[in-house]
Amino acid sequence: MAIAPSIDMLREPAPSVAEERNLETVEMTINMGPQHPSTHGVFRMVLTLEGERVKNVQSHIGYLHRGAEKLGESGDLEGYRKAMITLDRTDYLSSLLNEHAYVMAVEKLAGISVPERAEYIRVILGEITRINSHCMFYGAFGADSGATTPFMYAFALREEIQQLFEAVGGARMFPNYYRAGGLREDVPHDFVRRVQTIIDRALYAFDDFDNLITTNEIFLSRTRGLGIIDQTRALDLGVSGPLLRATGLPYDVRRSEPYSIYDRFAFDVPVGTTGDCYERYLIRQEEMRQSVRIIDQALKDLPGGPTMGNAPKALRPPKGEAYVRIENSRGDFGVYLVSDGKSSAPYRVKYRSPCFVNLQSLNDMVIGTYIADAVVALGSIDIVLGEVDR
Amino acid sequence: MTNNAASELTLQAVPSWMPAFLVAPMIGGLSLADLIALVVLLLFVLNFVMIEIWMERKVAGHVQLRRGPLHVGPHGSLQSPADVLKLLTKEDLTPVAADPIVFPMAPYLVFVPVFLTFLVIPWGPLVLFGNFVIRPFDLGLVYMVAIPAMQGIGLVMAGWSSGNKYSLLGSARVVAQLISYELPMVIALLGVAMMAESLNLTTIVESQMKQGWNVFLQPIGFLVFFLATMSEMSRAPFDIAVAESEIVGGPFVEYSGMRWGMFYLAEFAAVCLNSALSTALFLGGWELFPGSHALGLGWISDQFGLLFFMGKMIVLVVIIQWARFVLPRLRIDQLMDFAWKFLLPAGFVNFILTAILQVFGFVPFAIGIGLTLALAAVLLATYQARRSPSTVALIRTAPEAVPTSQGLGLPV
Repeated sequence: MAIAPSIDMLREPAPSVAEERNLETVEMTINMGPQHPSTHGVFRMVLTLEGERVKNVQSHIGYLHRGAEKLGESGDLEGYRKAMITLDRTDYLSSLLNEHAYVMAVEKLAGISVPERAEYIRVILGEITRINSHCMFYGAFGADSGATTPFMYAFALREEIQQLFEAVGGARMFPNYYRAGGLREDVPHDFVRRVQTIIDRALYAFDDFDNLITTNEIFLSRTRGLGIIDQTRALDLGVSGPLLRATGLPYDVRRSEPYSIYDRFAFDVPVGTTGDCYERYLIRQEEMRQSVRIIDQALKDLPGGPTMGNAPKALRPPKGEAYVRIENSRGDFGVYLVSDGKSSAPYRVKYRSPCFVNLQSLNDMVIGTYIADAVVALGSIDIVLGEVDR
Repeated sequence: MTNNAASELTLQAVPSWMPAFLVAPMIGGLSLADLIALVVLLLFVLNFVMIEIWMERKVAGHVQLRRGPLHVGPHGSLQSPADVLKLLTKEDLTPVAADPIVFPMAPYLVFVPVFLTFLVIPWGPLVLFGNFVIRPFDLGLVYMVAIPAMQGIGLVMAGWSSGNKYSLLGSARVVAQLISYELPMVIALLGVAMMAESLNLTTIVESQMKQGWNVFLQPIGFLVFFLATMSEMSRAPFDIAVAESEIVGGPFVEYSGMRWGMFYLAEFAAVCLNSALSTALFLGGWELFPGSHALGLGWISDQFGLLFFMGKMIVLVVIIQWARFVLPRLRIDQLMDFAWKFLLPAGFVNFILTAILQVFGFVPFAIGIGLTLALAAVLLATYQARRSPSTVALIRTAPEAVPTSQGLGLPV
């Protein structure tokens, strides 16, 4: 059993009727996933049930392991660009945010400066990616709690965002658009207008999201008080992102350790009080609005000029290492690069995946609840299996 | 009593123009006219279910910023026949772990009770037939509670015989749900029976034309009945038995092809059935608007009643479908709480209020309704106050002191 004994002591469920009357019961082991509509991909949970109650949960990962990091180290012709291709496909919902972290790591390693315009466009596209990812969370979380419509509402907005990505980078989900030293090419001429349209519509869409389920009584009763993780436990587990902020700690890398040009924008870091599933949901809702705020400011200040600095096409950084962390839509995402100073590809690539770390809190959330709660709690972690398994 | 009950099983009002051979009892006491009526009813149910599925997909589409089926036939209206054809041609799998006898039998045991309940529905005036009921039955109200309850057996058989743990969980949920919601439903029906002083559905409809629709005289009863039947047929937000995001379809997981189609058919037929029952019991059956008979406009209802009955039924069907697409699903304990702590007391309140109306007259009844509303308002206010302060407001304030990575002891 991969379960720490302390968790069982923490979450001892109330005695059931069967236990009170000393009736003989049989525990049932049920396998949820890797093919299950609400395990968000190919995650597998083996639940030990007593009736509807979850007594124990064992998680199995690795069904989507593709060796993304190792593949990134063997870039022959692509060099440092190759890791980004596989990186896009790890967390396929926040690909541009992760690309940002990767190019920043390469720039730190090789000492390359980035033009102003490229920085602004990176921030704008990164925040749009955050909205895109949180939309997906909204749809999936709604589906987990049994509402079918949020998915469609979220995808209506996602569709427009992905069309923008296609116009900018040529692909809807894996743009592979950033380069060390700037961007692959400048944005289309109507970029500002298109982004403006998207954020205008997004604000209406967020109100629709709220009206649909945020104050719905059934939704509240399903998510409030569920899957509580207190601040100490969250820090012990290394949890980050909305899960950590829901416990009341305003830790956001964009604010705690400003990277790129995030120190120029005014935005709030929403925090919760109890750390339950509902607050994680609310925090993501609020983060989408804060992202719109950032985009709005960045669009106003967007300078002209080049989008690519004087970086060489074939990079051969000096011997050394670099670690860069950013706030992606799931938490603290880190890229660690090592260069041996000789080859044109990174010697070592390592990603610190927030999904993988956040997933460790599953047992704390699920044990002692109902099956239906297990699904909602898993949904509130908002995992992307591509990034958990890498 | 036994003799009386037996005699009720024969046709009450045989239209005089019918030739003798049509109404002469044949095998098992059924006449040729009965058999024809059964076939017509079955065809009606099957066709209405197809229309209903199309409606549901259209409702879903328009709720979800889509347009629903569009391509097969005008506005996708032939989508359901196409789906039925697809189901018929699909392979009918029986899993190795399934019970070979019970597994194929279960779908029929789910559909047949629903179909049988249609027999007692008073459809309204029909040319040549008068007030058309396939089986006028003085114990109609008891019958319509007893027969659909058999559905549970079919669902348990389906869940148990599939040899799948998800099915088993689903069928356990079905049993718990059916038992819990039968009770408030019956309590709500007591009020209806007291108002009409009869258990015959036709008499109940006719009594509503004299004293006003039951939905106005006992709104609580209507609410309880409507919600309880929604739960009985496992429709969202009470669909824990089939909960797709948890137990991926419950008792139906292992079914495929037309056997699965039978479950689907039963579900949609139940929606139609319960809307029809709500219409007959609470919405004045085939009357055009409340009090139309008192105003001398009763002839409109008497001529075209079937249309009005169907119209009200379809409105209720759309409401049920609408609820499915906007509400999240309740959890099993919340579902039980809702039945035992809300619907059942509300049903009793309705029962007492109806008794006051029947014994003491309208004024004490109105006072009772007022008191109930006041009590409900107080309870609601208490509940709202007990909910913790709004989290939304709390999280929008951004604290100035933001920890850095060093402060948290994270690696830099």
